[in-house]
Amino acid sequence: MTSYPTLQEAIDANPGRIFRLPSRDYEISRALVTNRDNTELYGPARIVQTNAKEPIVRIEKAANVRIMNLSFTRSEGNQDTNQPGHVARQCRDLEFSNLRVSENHSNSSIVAMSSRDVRVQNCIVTNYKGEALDDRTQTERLGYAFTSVDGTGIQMRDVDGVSIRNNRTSEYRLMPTKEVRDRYDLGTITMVTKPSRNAPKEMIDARYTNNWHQGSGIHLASPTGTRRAIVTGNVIEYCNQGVDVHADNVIVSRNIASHCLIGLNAVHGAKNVLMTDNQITYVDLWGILLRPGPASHGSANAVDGKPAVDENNDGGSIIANNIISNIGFGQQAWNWADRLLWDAPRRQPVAGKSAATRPSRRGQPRLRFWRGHYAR
Amino acid sequence: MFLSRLVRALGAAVLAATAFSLAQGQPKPVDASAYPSLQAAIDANPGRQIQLPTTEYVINTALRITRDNTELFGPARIVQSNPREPMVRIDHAKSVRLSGLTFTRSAGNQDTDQNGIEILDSSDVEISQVRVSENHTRASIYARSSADVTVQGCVIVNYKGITVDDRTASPLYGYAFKAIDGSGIQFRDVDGVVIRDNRIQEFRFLPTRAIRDHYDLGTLTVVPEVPGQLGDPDIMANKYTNNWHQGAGIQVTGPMVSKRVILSGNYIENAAQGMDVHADNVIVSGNIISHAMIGYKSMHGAKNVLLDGNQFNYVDLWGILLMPGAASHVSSNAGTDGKPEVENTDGGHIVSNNIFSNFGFGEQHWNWADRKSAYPERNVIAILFGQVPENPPIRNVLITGNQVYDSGRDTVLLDGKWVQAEPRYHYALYVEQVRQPAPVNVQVHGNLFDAGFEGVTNIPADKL
Repeated sequence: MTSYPTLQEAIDANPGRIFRLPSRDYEISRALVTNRDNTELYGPARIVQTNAKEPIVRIEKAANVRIMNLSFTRSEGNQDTNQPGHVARQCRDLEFSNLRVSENHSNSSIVAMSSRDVRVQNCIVTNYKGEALDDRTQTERLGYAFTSVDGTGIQMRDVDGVSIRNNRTSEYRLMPTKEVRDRYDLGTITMVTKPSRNAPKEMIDARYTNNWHQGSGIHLASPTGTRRAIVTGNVIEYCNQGVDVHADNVIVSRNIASHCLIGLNAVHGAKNVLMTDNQITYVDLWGILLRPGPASHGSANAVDGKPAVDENNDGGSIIANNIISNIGFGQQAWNWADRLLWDAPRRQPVAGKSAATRPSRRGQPRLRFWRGHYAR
Repeated sequence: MFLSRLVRALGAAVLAATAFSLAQGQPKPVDASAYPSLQAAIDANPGRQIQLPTTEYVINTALRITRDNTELFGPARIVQSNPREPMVRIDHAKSVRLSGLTFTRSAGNQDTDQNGIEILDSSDVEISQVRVSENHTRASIYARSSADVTVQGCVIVNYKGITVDDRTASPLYGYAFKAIDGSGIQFRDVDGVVIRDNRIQEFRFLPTRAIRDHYDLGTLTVVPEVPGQLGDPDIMANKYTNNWHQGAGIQVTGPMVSKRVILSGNYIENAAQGMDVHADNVIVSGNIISHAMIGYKSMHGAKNVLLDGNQFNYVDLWGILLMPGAASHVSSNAGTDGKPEVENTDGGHIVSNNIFSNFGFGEQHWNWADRKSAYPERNVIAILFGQVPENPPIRNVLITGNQVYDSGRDTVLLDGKWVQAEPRYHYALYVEQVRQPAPVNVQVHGNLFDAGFEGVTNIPADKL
């Protein structure tokens, strides 16, 4: 490695090779990119991303890539980002092992999309949340945007063959306390298109939703594409949803989800999910929640120029041998006990203005706007 | 005063011990690149840790490890160019570790009658984070006559090949046929087995009609004059068996010896049998088996198997099959050679919290549908009679908390169309009632079973 001026040049000059990164800090301002099969990065090095507008690592259209035994973080002042930490697209046979990913505030610290056979194991992901605008204005049934805490530790989106085991995802910064809510003005509805079934008039009038804590420790998304997943042995603490499953043929076992709004969630077309031997503690809203979501639907064949639609039903699941304790004694009980959805001081929306251009309370442009969970 | 002295004394002792251990230190790993070959590095450093740099090593004889405490680790890729040799042989050694390495065979030398990594007569062996690919037939990782062997975090890809399944030496069969065969991980006569968190996939030989026809699979190559006891007359008459997809993702056999087995967190795709276990005191939990002929099978004297929390998906013949096999027998004080023989019976199992989905919608359904077999095929959970009358019956099986899910009800994609499809299994649960030796004491509680095309179960209501 030392014979190249930068890490990226070393990777480019040696496609498909194995790189040992010695124990030092590497500062980067562009994402490390690999699109060659068989590339492997390992070693004790620490990679520091200094550019908030770039991911830390990007892997594209590659097979058999391994990232191991490395630390990744963002530099001071560049930690609030709308970019993921590690992002993989259209890959096959990926492994992230023994990594530390810290201070990637919001979006996902590790995310794989449209890929096959992805393994994330023995990683530690800390401080993955950030302030965000959860923009649901493009979703007809919602039609509003609000300020939130969002971010996900590990996310799989449209991935067939997932193994997420023995990781820890922890958030230590943005706790869902009343003080944090007030400091960041969380839950304020910043824009409304029109009231809808899931955005009742009373809530819109109050300009507030208490649903401002978003994201997950582990998220399996894209329910018609993500399947055959093992999520086991993970410790997840201080998150909105511990494990959020929108996928089929999933094993969620022997995880500890602690201090979450929801412990385990299976929705939006999650089928044949096996939840066994988990510990769920200090959870304030639901320990385990199973239900169809707006994305759940039956199949349809192509007709009149409309494409065929895969079936995406929920059910066929087993919940066994889980321990659920200290329900309602976490940090978010205050936000859900005795509540009305719109139970907050009335605040005025910024009428007719794009939420994305709204300045933050500190007068700085917000960096962290991305479409929320429902709009993606 | 006394306490503070004690604390100081203890602190001094700890410091002294620390200094001692630091001074002694562990020897640095040996750098394999300092030797003319990998084998030379191993031979010159018995019992040492050997680090293999980021290099591709081409070998033409198996790496042989015969000394205790040898460890090979590192990011190297080892390419076996000789199909008549294994990749590694660990023989009569203790406490050997292989970790982080990649093994494969070179193009043109991948069809082999040899194993990939072979562990013989050894103990306390660990294979971790290793990748083994393109070892076509036999087993990619094989252990025999050993104790305490762990295989974890490994990836095994493309382990099958075309072979002849030669059963001519068996008086029960007496014939041979063309087959796809090969196993990802195979243990024979091993006490103390941990196989966890591995991924085992086959992408080459899928059991399609085109593959069957292309390789003439199932055709008998030897037809005996007198068929064996298990030689189906139809097979003899047609000179063809449809049982041409053989092997397993994971097989643990040698039921008289193999015991204390954990199979956990593995992902197995496109196997003939996801797991085939002939052993005692076995935990099978948290595995996903997708696209297989049989999801899990235990027979030939498998006792006290705990099958919990597994997913079986796109399995076509049986999801879980438990039965006595030809090798099952009771104990005898005058067994073979007149010596006492230990019992080898089946049963004492728990089948709990497993999910079965898309049964019959895999790639081998075509090979088993529309058969008029008297054998109870295509049942999701099957507890069957013995292969031969002398087998002791399987007994004491608890079936609880399982889910057999009729995926066809939600529609499935068939011939490019989403359609509701009838179930492709006879029963969610089949327990033999008539043919002997029939199962004894099968308890069924708290399951959620969608009915097959003959019903939920063949067990009469008054026996449930």
